[in-house]
Amino acid sequence: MSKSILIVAEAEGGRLVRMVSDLAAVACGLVGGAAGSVVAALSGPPGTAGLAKELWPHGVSVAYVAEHPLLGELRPETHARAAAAAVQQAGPSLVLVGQTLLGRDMAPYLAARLNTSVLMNATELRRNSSGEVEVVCPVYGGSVRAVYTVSESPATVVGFQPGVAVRGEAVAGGARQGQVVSVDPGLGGFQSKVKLVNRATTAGPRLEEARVIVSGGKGLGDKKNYAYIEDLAKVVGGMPGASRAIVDLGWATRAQQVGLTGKRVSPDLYMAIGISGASQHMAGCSTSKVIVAVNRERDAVIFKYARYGVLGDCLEFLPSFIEECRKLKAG
Amino acid sequence: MKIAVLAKEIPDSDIVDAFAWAGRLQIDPTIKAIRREGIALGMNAYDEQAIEAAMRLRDAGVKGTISVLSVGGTAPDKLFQRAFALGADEGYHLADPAFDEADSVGVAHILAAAIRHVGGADLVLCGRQGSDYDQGIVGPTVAALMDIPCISIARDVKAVSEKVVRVIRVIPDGEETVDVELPAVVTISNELGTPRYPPAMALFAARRKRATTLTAKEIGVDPARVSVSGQRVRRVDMYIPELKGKCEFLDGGGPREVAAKLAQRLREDGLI
Ligand SMILES: Cc1cc2nc3c(=O)[nH]c(=O)nc-3n(C[C@H](O)[C@H](O)[C@H](O)COP(=O)(O)OP(=O)(O)OC[C@H]3O[C@@H](n4cnc5c(N)ncnc54)[C@H](O)[C@@H]3O)c2cc1C
Repeated sequence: MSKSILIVAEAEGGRLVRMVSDLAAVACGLVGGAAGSVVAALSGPPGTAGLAKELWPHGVSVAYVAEHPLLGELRPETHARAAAAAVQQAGPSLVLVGQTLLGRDMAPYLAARLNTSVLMNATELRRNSSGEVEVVCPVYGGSVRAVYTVSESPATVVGFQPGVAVRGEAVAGGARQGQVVSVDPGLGGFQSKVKLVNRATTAGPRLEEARVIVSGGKGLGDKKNYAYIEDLAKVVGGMPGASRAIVDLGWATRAQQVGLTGKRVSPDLYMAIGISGASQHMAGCSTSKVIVAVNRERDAVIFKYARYGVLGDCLEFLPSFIEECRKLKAG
Repeated sequence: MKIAVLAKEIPDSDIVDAFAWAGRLQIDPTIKAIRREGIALGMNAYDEQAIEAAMRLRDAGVKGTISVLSVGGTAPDKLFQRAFALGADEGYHLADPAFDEADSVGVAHILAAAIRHVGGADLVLCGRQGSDYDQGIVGPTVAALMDIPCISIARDVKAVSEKVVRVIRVIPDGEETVDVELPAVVTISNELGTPRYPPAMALFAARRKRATTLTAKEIGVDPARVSVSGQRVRRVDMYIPELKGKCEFLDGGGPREVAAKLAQRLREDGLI
């Protein structure tokens, strides 16, 4: 029997995070549906084992569960220990981690603990003609792709970006009962050196879930012109986004930043206004269904991604466009 | 407080981007890496911000040396000049043919050994990721190897005492403030802000400072340990993804007419 693939199933606030199903789908895709080949490491505070049953419909057959009060905090030092214990018991050929806030740090930690290698930002995982596992990672902000073959013995840790992997759904026939194996996270005597003082997040609708996003860039010329972006977003029932350049300038907030180091979004309609289309920006929105670009340079890279383009000064275009959209909506 | 800043030399990512779109970027098929001719090399911008974070601690009255450590690179003098100009007191260049095969994990092994060799550090600062491979592996791996915590993607670092720093992290949709006991690794994000422009005096003084070169043997790192990770994860190809680009430009008339056309089109497509 070939070895299994282990996915790290992160749980937050008593629920599995969205990426878990995506990772399961990636793993199932690689093993080609062979039964018993996808297993999971699940770690959290006491009571976490109850979440294991949510893994079975995704094709997971064994959940290695570590429970400990310290695992209630999403810290890489502790969760990497728990995942390492699971990997040591399961002996998989590959370990997949979702790049959530925790996963991003946990993956390298886990690799170090297992004395193995790690690759981050994977967008594809496949077997090549020689049977080796190949991983594709965007590099240089996304303008270049690198392809790696990775060791399966010892198992390599591979991190996936949220939203870029397969969208995982429950698989038919995967609903049978799996097995729960409890593992010792090895936290006896562990002293946490990190104390959470405060966590402040903005409530309300999230950019990632918007169907329409209107993003502004440096082409707006001035902070006050970002109001056009907000107006337009409101009129078309979408949310305002931004390039990093204007977040750095303080014209928009960090929660609005789209891109490699901001939000990864994939709306039906993405309007890029006064945005050049740098690969780091496009890394966050290039999978949008329809991109509209407004830019005054014909050579702007953004037009290569766009379905519709408007060549011209966005400050002349925006008032009219807001007006037209308002009329359409009213009529 | 001893502060170690980890810095990497990389090709300017804006130029790489511009070259890629202009069809000028070339891949060297033997080493599966981009050809660097005509592309400026410099310190990873996030690492410059890590030095700035160290300088802000100093401004706030924290005493102690700021050392910059860097592995390999083709123009280390330039990188260290920049580091000294930004305020670093000491520079350590980790250079050895044995390091050529190191991947991010290997580099982390070298850096962890070097930090130990120079007498340890209370606070290790580095950029959140290199703007070349965008992997973000080095900071957390160094922390794991030193068995200390890593606080990633910070926009602010302040000393609470000689033994504790308060870090504000940028998290999706907000911020998180944590107190961490030293020693610890903190990775810095661009939200920290632009590094100060070095005063002329600092630039002048930087020119006379030199980094200390250290080899694998001197820092006591096993060359086999450094290269094994890179052998297990092998880069077998690199390519520039092609963009088809089939943009329909809406024109004819002034902004009003174009706006009306676009709105109509988006309505027909069921998008607004
Ligand atoms: C490691 C790394 C991570 C990064 N992460 C991100 C990220 O997550 N998100 C992100 O966005 N960027 C990111 N960046 C930055 C990115 O490389 C670009 O610098 C940034 O996206 C540029 O923003 P911009 O398009 O608003 O500005 P610019 O590149 O300056 O473009 C402005 C555009 O507006 C056009 N313009 C000017 N005036 C007008 C006008 N009156 N009317 C119409 N058009 C006009 C110009 O032709 C130009 O195309 C990252 C960079 C690095 C190195």
